[in-house]
Amino acid sequence: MMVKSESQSREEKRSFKWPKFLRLPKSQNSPKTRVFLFCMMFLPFVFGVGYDFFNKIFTIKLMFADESGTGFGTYYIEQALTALFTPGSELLIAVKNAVIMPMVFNFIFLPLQLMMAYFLYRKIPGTNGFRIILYLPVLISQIVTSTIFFIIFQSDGALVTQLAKWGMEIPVDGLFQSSKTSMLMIYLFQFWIGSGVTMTLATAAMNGVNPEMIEAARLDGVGFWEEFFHMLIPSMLPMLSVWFVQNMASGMGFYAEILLFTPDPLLSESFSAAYLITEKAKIMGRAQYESAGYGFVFTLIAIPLIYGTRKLLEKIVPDNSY
Amino acid sequence: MIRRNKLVDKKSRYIVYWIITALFVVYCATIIYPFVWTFFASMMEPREYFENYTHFLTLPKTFNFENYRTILGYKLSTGGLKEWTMWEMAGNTLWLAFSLGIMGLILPCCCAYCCAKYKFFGSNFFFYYGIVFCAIPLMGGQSTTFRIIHFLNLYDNLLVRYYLTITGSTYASFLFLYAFFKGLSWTLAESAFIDGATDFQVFIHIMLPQVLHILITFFIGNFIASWNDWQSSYLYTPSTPMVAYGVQRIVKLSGYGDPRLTVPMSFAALFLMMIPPFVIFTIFHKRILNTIYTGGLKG
Repeated sequence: MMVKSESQSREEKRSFKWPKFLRLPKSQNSPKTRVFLFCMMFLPFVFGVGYDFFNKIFTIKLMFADESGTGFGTYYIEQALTALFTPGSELLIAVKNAVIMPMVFNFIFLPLQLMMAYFLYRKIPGTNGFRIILYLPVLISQIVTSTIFFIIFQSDGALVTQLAKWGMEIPVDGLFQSSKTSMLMIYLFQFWIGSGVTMTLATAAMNGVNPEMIEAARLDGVGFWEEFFHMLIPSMLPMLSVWFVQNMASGMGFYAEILLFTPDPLLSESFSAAYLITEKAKIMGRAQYESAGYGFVFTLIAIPLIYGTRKLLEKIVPDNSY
Repeated sequence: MIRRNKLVDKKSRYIVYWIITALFVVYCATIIYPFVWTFFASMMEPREYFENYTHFLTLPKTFNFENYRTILGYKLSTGGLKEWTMWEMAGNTLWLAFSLGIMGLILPCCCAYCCAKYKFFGSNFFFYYGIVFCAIPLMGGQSTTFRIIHFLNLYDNLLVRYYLTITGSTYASFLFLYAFFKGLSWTLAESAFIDGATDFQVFIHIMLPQVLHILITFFIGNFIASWNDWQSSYLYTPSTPMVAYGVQRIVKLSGYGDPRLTVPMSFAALFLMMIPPFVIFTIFHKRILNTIYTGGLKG
C-alpha cells in the first residue's frame, strides 16, 4: 500500500478541486486552458447565445401577456387566432401566402433550377459566363434589384408597355397593386434573384457524383432524363431535402419586396409574417403585444410545416443529417 | 465548349445542348437588361427620360455623367440633425462592413474552435443550440428587440445596430467552421503542446492558418452583405444611414419628394451602389464561386 508523504497530503489539500461538471479532460486540465477557454468563449456567448436566448424568453413573455401587458394572459393570442379565422384579415392573407409560397418554390422553381443546373453541369457552351451572370443578382443590394424590377414592370414601364403592345392583358391597378398579380411578381422577383445560387450549388453537387459511374452509364446509352432522374437526383437527395425544408420557411420571411414593391399591401394581398410582425413591432405600446400574438400564430403554423416536412423527408432520405 | 463525342453522343443530344444554350442566353439577357436600361436612363436629362421611359431600350442622346456628379454632391436628410452625401454614407458603410466582416468571423471562429477541440461544460450546448433552438421558428422576436432598444434609450444608436447585426450572423458561420475544425487533425497541436506551446499559440500559429482561406471567403461575403444591407438602417439607425438605405431614400424622394432630385439621378445613385460589390466579385469571383462549389460538393 502506497503511503502518502506529508508534503503530498498538504499538496492535495491545497489544490482546488473543480466540481465534476466543470472538470476538463486530464490533457486539458490546467488553469491556463481555463483562462484560454473563458477568453475565447465570453464574447461569442454575449453576442450569440446570450442575447438570442434572452430575446426568445422575452418574446414568449410578450406573447403570453394580458390586455394591459403587465400580467400573464392569452388576450393577444386570442385576438390573433380570431383574426386568423376572419375572412379578409391581414393575418389570414399572410398565412395563405406562407403556405402557397413554399409550394411554388419547391414544386415549380426548384425543379426548373435543377434542370438548368444539369445543363450547366453538362458544360454547355458559355457555362463559365452563365455562372457569373446568374450570380450577379445575389451580389447586388436588394434595393437596387427590387427598384429596377419595379421600374421595369410598373404599369407604364418599358417592359409592360411592350407586353401590352404584344397583346398581354395588364391589370388596371398595375401588376404590383392587383391582388391577382402582386404575389406572382414577388415570385418572379424571387426566381430572378435566387436562381443563381441554387444553380451554382446544384451544379457543384452534381460535380460531386462519381464521374466514372456517369461515364459508364453514358457508354451504355443512358439519355438525359435517365441520367438526371436516376443518377444525379438520388445522389443529391440530402442537399435537396435541406433546400426543401429551408424553402418551407421562405413564405414567412419575405419583407423587403412588400416594402419596396407595394404601396398598399392590404389592397394587393401581399402580406407576409415578417412584414406584419415587423411593422407592428416598430410601434411602441399595444401594437408590440399584437405583434407577439401574431408571432405565436405564425410559430404554430411554422413548426408543423417545417418539422413535418423534415420528418417526411427523413423517410425518403434516411441518412440525412441536418 | 462541347465537343461531340461521336462514339457516345447522338446528334440530337448535341442539337439539344445548343437549344438550351440559346435559352440560357435569353435568360441571362433578362438578368442583364434591367441593369443596362438603368445605366442608360441614368445618363438622360429628366425630359428625355420621361419621353423615353416606356420604350424597351433607348440610348441616351449624350453619354454624360452630370447626374452622377450631382448625386455625389446631393445631401440627404434621413430625420437626424445631419445631412449626408453619398461619400459620407459610403464611408459609414465601409467602416461598418469592414468591422462587421472581421467581428462576424472572429467570434464564430473562436467559438467553433473551442467547441470542436475542447471538452468543457457547454461545449455541445452551443452546437445543439444552433441547430435545435435557432431552428425553431419563433416569430415575434422583433417586438422584444424594439422594446429593449427603447427601454434602454438606444434607438438610433450605431452600437446597437452593430451588436444586432453580429448577433444575427454568427450561427451560420459557426456551424460551418465547427465542421471544419472537427475535421482538422489534433496531432500537430499535441506536438506543439509537448514543445511547450500554450493554447493561444496553438490556435494562432497552427489552427488559424489552416482555416484562413475559408475566413477570407466569409469575410468577402460578410463585407458584401453589410454593404447591401438596408434593413438594419431602416429599422434601427435611420439617422445614420448606410449607403443602401440612403439610396432607397433617394429613390423614394426622387420625382415627387424633393425637387432637387430627378428620377435619372436616382438611377445614377442605384448604379453607383452596384459598383463596389461588382468590383469585389470581379477580383474574387474564383474564390467565391469555388467556395460555394466546395460547399455544394460537401453538401
